[in-house]
Amino acid sequence: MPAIPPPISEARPTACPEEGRPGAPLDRRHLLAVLREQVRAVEAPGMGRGVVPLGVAAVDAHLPAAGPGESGVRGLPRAALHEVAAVGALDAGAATAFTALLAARLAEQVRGPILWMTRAPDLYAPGLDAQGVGPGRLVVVHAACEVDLLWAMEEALRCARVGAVVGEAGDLDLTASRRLHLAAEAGGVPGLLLRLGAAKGAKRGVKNAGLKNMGLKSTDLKSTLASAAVTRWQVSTAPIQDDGSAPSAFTGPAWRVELLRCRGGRPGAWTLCERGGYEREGLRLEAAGDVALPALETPPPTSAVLPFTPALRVAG
Amino acid sequence: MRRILSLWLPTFATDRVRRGLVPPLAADTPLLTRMADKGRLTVAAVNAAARAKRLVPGMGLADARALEPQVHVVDADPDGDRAALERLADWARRYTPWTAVDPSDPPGFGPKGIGGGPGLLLDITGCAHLQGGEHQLLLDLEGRLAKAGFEGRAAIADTIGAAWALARFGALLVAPPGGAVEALADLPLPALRLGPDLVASLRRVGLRRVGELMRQGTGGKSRAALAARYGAQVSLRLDQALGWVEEPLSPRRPPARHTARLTVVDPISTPEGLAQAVRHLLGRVAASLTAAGEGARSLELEAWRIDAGHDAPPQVLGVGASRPNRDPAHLWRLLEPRMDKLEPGPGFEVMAVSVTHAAPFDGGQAVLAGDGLGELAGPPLGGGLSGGNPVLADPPVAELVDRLGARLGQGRVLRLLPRQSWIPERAVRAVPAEAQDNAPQSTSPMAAPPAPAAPFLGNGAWPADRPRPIRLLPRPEAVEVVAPIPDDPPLLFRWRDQTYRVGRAEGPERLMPEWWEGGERRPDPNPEPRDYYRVEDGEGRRFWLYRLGLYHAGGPPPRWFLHGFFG
Repeated sequence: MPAIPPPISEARPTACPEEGRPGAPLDRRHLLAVLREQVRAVEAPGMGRGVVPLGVAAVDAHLPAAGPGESGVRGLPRAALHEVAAVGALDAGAATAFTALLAARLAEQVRGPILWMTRAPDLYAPGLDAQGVGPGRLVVVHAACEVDLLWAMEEALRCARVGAVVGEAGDLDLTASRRLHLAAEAGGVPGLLLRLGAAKGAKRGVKNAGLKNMGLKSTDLKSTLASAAVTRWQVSTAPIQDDGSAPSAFTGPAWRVELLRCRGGRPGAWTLCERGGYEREGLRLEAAGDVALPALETPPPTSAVLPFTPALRVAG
Repeated sequence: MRRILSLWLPTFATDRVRRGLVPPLAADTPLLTRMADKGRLTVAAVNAAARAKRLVPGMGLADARALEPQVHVVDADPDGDRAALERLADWARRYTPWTAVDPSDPPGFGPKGIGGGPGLLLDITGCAHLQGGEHQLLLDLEGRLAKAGFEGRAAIADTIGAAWALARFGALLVAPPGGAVEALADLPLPALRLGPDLVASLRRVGLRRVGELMRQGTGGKSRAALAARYGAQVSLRLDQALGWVEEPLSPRRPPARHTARLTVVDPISTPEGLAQAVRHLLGRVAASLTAAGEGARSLELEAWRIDAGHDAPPQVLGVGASRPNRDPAHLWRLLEPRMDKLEPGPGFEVMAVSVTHAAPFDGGQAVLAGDGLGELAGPPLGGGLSGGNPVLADPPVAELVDRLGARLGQGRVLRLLPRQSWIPERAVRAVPAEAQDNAPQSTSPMAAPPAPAAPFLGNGAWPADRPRPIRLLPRPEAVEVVAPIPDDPPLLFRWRDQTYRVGRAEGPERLMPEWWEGGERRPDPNPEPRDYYRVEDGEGRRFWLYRLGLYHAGGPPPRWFLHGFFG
């Protein structure tokens, strides 16, 4: 009989065959699935509260799965801290838009305002409105210093009636981000760290030009890496591939989105296009082009948890 | 029964001077202040030592110098005296919230006569027990003033007039309730706050004491004769002193309707002690608010230090709430982040919490802890006092907004609302998140799906068909461009020493200056039209550029600016 690895938690999975029974048929696939679930529970505690699919199947396949009750649904955990970084200073717009999109998506099914903590004077509400963060629920907190910003973020994350909290934080050490993550878990409120400073070692170093003058802070690679955020995204703009249909037409933006780290999920990189943005029929994100993904064992039902707008499409 | 304390400061002006002198003047040195009166210098105020040398206010300065060559002379400062007296009245609020500068100043009486010098009036009804009784309060007040270098005499009686008389002329300091007649009977007539002329004419008919006047004035007929003979002033002052005519006392600062104060024997200086004291006070204020069916929109914490001088105002912390609130725990959360602004030093001995702005409470029913989210459950139906502001509809969120505003400042917690303007920098209206929103809006837009595309600005949204950047530079920055004229998008532009080659472009969107904005006093700084272009460089980055002005034959070429970044 092959040795069965001891379960990680004290509570045995019910499906695990008992060791004392010789000759019992060993359902290896099922056992592995149960063990994976246990590992995931250890890796990402508090994720059972619910996940929010982004609506792009290729991306959602990489995100952590929901709790055992809603198996098959994958998405961003709600009660957790996420991090979105711009690759270069000029990607600030793309990163801001992507963050606003995530915030709107995470807060879609709940009431409550979206609080946006910032120290920069250039946040523009009509642009946020186009990404789904409308003026009816946006509350902007202009913090005078980093300490105030982090304090305000933590306070807001602990208030369960808040829809989502976005913080444009600068350098953040592990302790601070862990604290924010714990607050997000306690309050059940999604937190989004938006880092507009250019990460060192990013591919397009040229983009850092003009960074200082924009009042943005550069974050160094070390501090960028140490973070308690559950997912880390890196966003930059991508040139739109001309498909020949409408040359030089101004379509929705294209973003190069990298999922650098994801607890309970897998990293990945995609080019996402926003089709028909600026027309408030709902957001249409789609993966374009060069993503090679392994086939999914169970294709996620796109509307199992959240009834999303029918405009969501899955491509690639 | 009202209990009034009258405090007389006979040598206030000179005491102030003496406190400020370096090196300090010995107490027995004659001191006077001088002022210019009708072209000559006269004596304005004297201290006790000078009065003992027969120097009196009103005499010429030369005469005074002749009588006492050693006298110390300082310029009078009536405005400073007045301000100091008002500070003293504020300080006296440590005993009662109802304090005022004594307004009694009968014509011709002033500082010159007997009993001249300013005073304070304190309505101590119901406050004396906090100091251990009226005698203790008097001793405490006089002792503190003496330590600060002020000579003061105080007396307590049922009426302003009686207390005023006892403070200046009486041997008895506290007249028992209802004992004004006996207390006043032996006092001379000026004790009734009558001018010297009236006193002189009464003296001519043989009236010298208040008691004699009272006997004259008791019978109905003789009373009318008294008024007819000597004027209404005499009977009015007598009636006021005896409490037959009500005399109002206007407090210097209106006392709050909901207030609680705490006087402690051992001064509080530790943060834990302060927190405990403030929470205790908040609980009492909350009970008072509950009884009145109101909630606090703003409240003030005042604290008096044990070593604070007479003119040191109490340390004040003020906080505001976005909606009427009477939950002590929430009010404490508002105050807590600012408690470190208090400087207890050796400790506070008196602390007070008062509600400076109360409003009817509509926060719904307090419920048994159902969801554990706070004392109050569910937003009030129909918006209630939260008006059209959806952020405030939910009490826990409103409290969060309060907390953020209390620590960061109300101007830093904002809602960005649409404004009817096509000019980008004017299209956003920032209002404090705690403000009521009077703009027409649906009552709960947060629960509703995104509003349908709004082609016009009229219904409170930005136009959906006009793409707007997500980051807008506070000031547009000048760029150098290569662009075909007259109105093609640029091919190339240079911003902050970097050149960007334009791959695609869209535009122009022409925005005309809005002449109705600003008006004559604030003319539009940019009277020229702007042509906005969305451009994308080779890497997909999207910029918002505009050309200011038009090409004119022979005119200067229009300038180009970068205004924002798209997502």
